[in-house]
Amino acid sequence: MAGENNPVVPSKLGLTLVMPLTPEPTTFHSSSYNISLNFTSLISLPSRLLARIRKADDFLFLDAVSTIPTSGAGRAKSNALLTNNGTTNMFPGPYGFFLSGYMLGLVLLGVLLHRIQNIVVPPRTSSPSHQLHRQISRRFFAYSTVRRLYGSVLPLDLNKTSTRLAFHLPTLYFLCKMLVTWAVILLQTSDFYPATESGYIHSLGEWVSRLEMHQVCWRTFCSICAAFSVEAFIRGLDGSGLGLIHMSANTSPFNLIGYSFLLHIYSSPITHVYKPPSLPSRPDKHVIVTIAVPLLQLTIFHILSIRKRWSNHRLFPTALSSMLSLLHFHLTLYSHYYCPSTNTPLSPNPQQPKLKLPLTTHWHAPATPVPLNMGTSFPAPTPPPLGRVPPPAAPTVLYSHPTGSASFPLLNYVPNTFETLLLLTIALTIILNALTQLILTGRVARPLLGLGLSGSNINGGWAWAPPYDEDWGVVLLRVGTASLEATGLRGLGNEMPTIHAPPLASRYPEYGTARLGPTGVLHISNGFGPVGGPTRKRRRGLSNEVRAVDGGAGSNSSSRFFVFSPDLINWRWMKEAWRFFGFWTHVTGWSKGLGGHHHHHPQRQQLGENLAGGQGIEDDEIIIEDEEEEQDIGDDQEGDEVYDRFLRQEEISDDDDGHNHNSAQGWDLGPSSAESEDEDEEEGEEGTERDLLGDAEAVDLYADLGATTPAPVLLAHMTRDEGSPLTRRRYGSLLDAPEATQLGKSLFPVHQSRTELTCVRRNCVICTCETREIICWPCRCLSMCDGCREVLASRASSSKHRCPCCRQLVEGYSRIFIP
Amino acid sequence: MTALRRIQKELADINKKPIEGISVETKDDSLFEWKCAIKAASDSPYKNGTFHFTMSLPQNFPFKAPTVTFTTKIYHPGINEEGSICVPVLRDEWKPSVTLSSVLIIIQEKVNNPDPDDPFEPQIAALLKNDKAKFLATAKEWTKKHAM
Repeated sequence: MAGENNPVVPSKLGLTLVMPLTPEPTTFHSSSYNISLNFTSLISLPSRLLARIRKADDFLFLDAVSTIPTSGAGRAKSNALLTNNGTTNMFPGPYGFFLSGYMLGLVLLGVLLHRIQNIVVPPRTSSPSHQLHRQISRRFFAYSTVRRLYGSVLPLDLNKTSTRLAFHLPTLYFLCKMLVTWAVILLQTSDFYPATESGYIHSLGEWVSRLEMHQVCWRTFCSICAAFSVEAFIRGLDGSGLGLIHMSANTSPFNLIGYSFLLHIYSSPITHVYKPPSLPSRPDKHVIVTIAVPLLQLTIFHILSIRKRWSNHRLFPTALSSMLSLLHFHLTLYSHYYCPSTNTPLSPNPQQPKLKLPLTTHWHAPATPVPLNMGTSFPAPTPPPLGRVPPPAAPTVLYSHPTGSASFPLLNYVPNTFETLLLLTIALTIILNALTQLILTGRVARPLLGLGLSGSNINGGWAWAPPYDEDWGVVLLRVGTASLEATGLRGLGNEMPTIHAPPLASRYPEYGTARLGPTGVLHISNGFGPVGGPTRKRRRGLSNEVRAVDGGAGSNSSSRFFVFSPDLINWRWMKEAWRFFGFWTHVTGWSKGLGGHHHHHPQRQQLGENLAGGQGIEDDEIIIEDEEEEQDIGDDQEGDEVYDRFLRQEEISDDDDGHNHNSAQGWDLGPSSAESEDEDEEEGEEGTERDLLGDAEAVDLYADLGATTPAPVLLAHMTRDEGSPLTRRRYGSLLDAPEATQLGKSLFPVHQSRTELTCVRRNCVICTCETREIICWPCRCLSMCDGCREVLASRASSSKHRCPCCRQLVEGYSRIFIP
Repeated sequence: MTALRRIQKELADINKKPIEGISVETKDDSLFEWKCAIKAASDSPYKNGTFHFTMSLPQNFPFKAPTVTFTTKIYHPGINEEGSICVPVLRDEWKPSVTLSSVLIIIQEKVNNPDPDDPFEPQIAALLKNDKAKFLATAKEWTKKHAM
């Protein structure tokens, strides 16, 4: 195994050793920035890149060598060290990595894993179960014993933990052995290893300390490869690569290339700091932690893969290793900044080659050609004992202490800092949530609100479903982003307050408003029909949908005015008086003149509408004014025309009256309006209705109402349980039933379709499992359950929330309580 | 998780109330890949032909729209050579409340009634507009060649 580390090129390096030890910084720099963009240089770019890598390698090597004290003995010793130390002659740079055994191993492993994933696939036809095969095999006892043995063991059932354990055992043994080795190395380099004189611990320590670093690294690499292969094999046999969980094997989220680069670098003694006399050298302890933590994660994955149910669980190992590395990071920072007394003086060992590899300029050039997906850590060679304390503001370079008591792998900063920031943001969100709820509602009900983590909305917010098969990093990123974007102010996270005031957009609100007072319903205002046609009909009775309820708790200013005003003028009386008066004028045949003026209003009142829009509770006054104005203005214009006609002695409009009489009959028979509570109003209603419906169309509309008795229609309406209203066509189809009674028909399929439709209509359109509870404003679609709403809210930024039914922009939502 | 239940429910609904002219089955063991076949109506240019297409549902269905790819070649102005069909409900107008059966019905409509104002393939659309007889002939020929 040792020979594999330096396969091809010792001779080349031997050459460079002999070269004069003059570092060439200038040419190196100039060559690195000398890329001219003509055609030939483009073609030669790859070769130049390679040459640059090699040059960088050589340069670094030369630099390292040149800092070795140039006393003859020292040089000889360093040469001897480097050439005779048979193992790694190559400087652990990127070029060396490409040619090392690690790269070969990676390539082979890649091919192997790919083939396993594609070939090891359970057969389509289900294989007979273990017992069945046993029974079958028993019948063939005449066969040889080998066959019988064969038949009793195979086919294996991979759902059983014992078979999986058998597969995993060898690799598990090796992994654990390497883990223990690394742990002991760590303890030894940080001087925590118990120095007993004899016994298992002592012999273990002795054995470990005799291991060469490159051996350890190489063995670690091999055991990881073996573990990956076994896991991929098992996963393939399981068939869990197919189907719903299209996750590729455990291998892909773990950055094996980066990790093996790490191992490669720390195989060579050049990068080692800790050099006990007459024992193999060791890298810095922080580096060891960085190497050991992913190994721990992989071991846990391997253990989890023993049991089928746990084999997709990724959260715990990734979380554990992230937490450990974060802990390591923060402890190091803490000890560096707050415990400066642990500075040890320069090492008394003069033989220690002092690597002067300032990280600022020289690492940049070689770093660029190497693909920068180095994953968890790309440690720099350990920093030189410069003996200066860097200013705390310098985030890139952290060396202060000789012998590296606070030397920390450089690029570990970035992922660790990022993770820390994410964790802090999430913690901040949770704390703010908890504080808000605690202060306002007295108990912390849903601290995880808005983070997209809660499983369902029942049983309160402490219940959360940790996503077991996601990586910790992924979860952190997702929740962190959600917490940064969580907003209770807009979009689907915005719960609208309880509605006090009826939202009134225009002087002609489409739907009615009910005003409630202490004694009950004070007044129902009416909605108006849509613009179009000659009249804008006021909706009355059953055609007036009341959509807003004013409990009187609403706006102050206008209601105050309104409260005062009855003392001066009795508005209500005035209104009724006007109606009464209107009734008489209609009866005397001036109905057309008075009533048909509504079509003028849209033009004149447009401006008024826009002005009055969104004013809140001024509806009643406005409507009252409207009525009066309507009739006033209408009078002026249409009255002239009627008068003209009268003057011309033409017959004045008997058509309308005639129609009105017919429809009036229809109305008498029809169900009386339940909305109005005033008798005067009803009579007045009749009269104004007559003038409003002064069209032939209206006659046709209500003709059938007048013709038939209303009872069956009413019954059909009331026994209907579906969400959509009973239209004429549907009613007709009910009537056309071939069966005996229409009721008989409507009962049976209604019952069937009732449950079906109830299921469909009551369930959320997104998950179709929970009942709908959320309506969106302003579109008011009741379509989602609370869980889906939360998911939607955390997915997109709030300005882009759209209703899942009608795709209008969502400003807020409300919960609907269906008792 | 919500994706699974919803897909199962949709599949159950379609199997309970199959749409006329469309057959649906799932690919192997994955509920996220549907293999569907549509039998062209008898008054369409592609009558007697059966056209297969796959509907692949994304992992975060229903928040993202499914993708439809035709595996049978069809001479249609709204379906290109690679088998992608241009349907607004599958791109911009997707909302989570759109059911897969409605998507299938829309696709069926589109196939049975090729519309020249909707060109994924401009040449075919132009031909349909200018020389309808030739379009019908080519459509019939392609149907015979690929979809029978």
